[in-house]
Amino acid sequence: MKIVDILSQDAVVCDAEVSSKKQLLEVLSKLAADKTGLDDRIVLDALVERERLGTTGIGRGVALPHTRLTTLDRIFCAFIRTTPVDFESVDNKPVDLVFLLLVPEEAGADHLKALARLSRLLRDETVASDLRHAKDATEIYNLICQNDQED
Amino acid sequence: MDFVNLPILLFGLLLGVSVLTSLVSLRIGIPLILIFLCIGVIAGIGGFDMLETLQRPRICFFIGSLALALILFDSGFQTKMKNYRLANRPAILLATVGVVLTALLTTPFAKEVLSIGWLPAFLLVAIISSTDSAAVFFLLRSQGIRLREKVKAILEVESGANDPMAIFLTVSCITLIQHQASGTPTSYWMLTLLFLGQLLIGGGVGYLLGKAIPFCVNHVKLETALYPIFVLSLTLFGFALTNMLGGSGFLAVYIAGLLSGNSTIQVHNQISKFQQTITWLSQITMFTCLGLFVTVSGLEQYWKPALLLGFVLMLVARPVMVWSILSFFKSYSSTEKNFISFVGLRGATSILLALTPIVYGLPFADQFFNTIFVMVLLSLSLQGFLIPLVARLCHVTVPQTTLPPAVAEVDLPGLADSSLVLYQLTAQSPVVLGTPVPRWANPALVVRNGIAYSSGTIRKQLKEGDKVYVFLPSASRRLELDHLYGDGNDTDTVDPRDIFGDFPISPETTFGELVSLYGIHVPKDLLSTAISAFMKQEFTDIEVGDRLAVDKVELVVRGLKEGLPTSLGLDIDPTRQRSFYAKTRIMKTELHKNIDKASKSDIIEE
Repeated sequence: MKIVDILSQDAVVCDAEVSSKKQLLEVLSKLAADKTGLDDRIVLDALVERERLGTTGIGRGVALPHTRLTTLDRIFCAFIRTTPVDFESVDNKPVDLVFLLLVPEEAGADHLKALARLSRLLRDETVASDLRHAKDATEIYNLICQNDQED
Repeated sequence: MDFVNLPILLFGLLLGVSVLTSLVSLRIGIPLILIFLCIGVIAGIGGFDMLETLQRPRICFFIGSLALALILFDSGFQTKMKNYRLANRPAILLATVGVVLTALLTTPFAKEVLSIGWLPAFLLVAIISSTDSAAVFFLLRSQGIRLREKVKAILEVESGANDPMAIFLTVSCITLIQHQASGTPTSYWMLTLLFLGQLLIGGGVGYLLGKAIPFCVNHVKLETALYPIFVLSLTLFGFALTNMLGGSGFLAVYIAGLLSGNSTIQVHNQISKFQQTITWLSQITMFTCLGLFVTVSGLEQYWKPALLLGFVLMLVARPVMVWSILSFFKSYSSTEKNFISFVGLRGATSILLALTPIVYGLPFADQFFNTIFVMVLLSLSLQGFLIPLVARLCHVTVPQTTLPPAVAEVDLPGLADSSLVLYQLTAQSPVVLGTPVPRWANPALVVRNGIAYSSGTIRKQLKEGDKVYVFLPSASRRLELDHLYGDGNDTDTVDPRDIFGDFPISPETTFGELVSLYGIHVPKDLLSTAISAFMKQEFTDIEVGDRLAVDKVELVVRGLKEGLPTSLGLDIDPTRQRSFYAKTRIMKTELHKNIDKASKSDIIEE
């Protein structure tokens, strides 16, 4: 499964303005609700519940909030570049690159595969840096597709 | 009183010249020891009367052995145990089998080129078979080049550990030659016994000494300045005792250094600084002394075959040896193998061993000494000069950080594991950028514009340029401090995610919560069990980094308190390629295979 299969260009947002982790999760939930027809409250609650187990801010300015939703019918992925915001990350550094991943109940192993793939993409410091300097959403989308590695 | 003053004058002069030439050496990038050697050669050829005493092989060999023992102790003392974990297997193989292999590969050439017998030919290459990387690391440091961790580790461990092997080969070869000359039948059993004795007694005494040194230092109350001397005395005592017992003294001091340097020891910094100074002094003395033995006529006579042999060693024997041994370890790329092949600098041990034929009065001693001298010279100058370039070509360097994270570290008397660390903050320091400081890491003292402030008044407004003194309660937390007060550059070459997993997971998380989030399979009776409690129960002597494999994911211990994980990591993709460091020492239990008998298994080489 490639990232391009689950991420559509209209789910890429560049330069979101948020001031807190909570607000960032709200923006993500609204975006997901818009594209999938789910209730944004349900998405937000699930994401907050996941964060309770441990932050998804994995360091170096990157966060990968994710969760499983029974009411979802397909894997949904979104990307947001935001103003740096405190995400309670492992390295205490503010987060500015965020992938959201929502998977349906029956996704099984696909969930982990997709997460691993997103994590691997942003592990590359040059990719992260390119994403930070991209001028618009289209460029971000192209960068993501180009750098998505085969398993 | 001139019989006192003139030699001291000369000694002082030689030392001074040696030290000052380090400036030149740094500029043009030639190993320092090469310069010390040349100074010895010049002084020897100059024919100062006072130096005649030193030109007696036995005296020089004595000085050389003493110096080498101190150098090896220090080399162990400064080697981080981490490097051993990083590269122990390949490096130990290079240092043992590799030494023999290098010798075997070069022997036929030596026999042909020098037209000598098999045994003398083997002796010659045994003498030159150990490597010296002190020169390499000094050069790289001075040129601002940092090697990648695993390459640095393997070179450091190899060069430290291969001296005892070369010494043993040389000694046994000489024994054989003497037996041949006197017609005594040689018992290979005896030789094997001799070897085992060297190894076991050397290793044993080294181990005891390595435990005794920190124990004694921590339990004897002395004037601070006396501790380094105390350590020195124990080292020398252990060295001589091991030799008298029939073990390898060099091996013993190296191991003792390694163990004591990596243990919790009082005044560690002061001992370490003293060792460094002693090592320099030893190197200068040793090389200058050895240089005295070189004669112009000897060099004239033997330089051509010596150069040829030097090139064979450099371009054939060493690369073949390194490639064939490292091909067993998949984690080394070809460029890395090439670089390791290239860094086979010959140095101190080889020249010292070249004296042994002279000491034992073997017939070809003069030829050997001059040949080996030229080979070492060639290796030091050519390889030494080219190493920075080759390192870049082989992509084994990592970007240099602008400043070391901490400026200085001060020992605290009476507190073995603690110290006071000084940082100079930059605009990029995480604390300046607003990273919160945990209570234990609060600055003890902040100096701004020459005025001291206590932590309470200024803690919240740390600025660029502040000098911050922080109390370090335990050496193991040093990295955390560096991350807070350092220059903000991640000096770590290892992605922490490789070691601790992708996501942190709270220790109270139950298996059930994991199942509902990721759809993995876990036995039903475990669903309501907290992961940390299960890990505590399953792992005997649990350690940070231990892993529990659950279906397709792995749970990693990130933090521990009294055997109970205080924080966990979730690795969502444990089968991926990891960096070499992260691969070492992973203890793993597999949950899904056998719940009742989850056993720790070592998967160092996955």
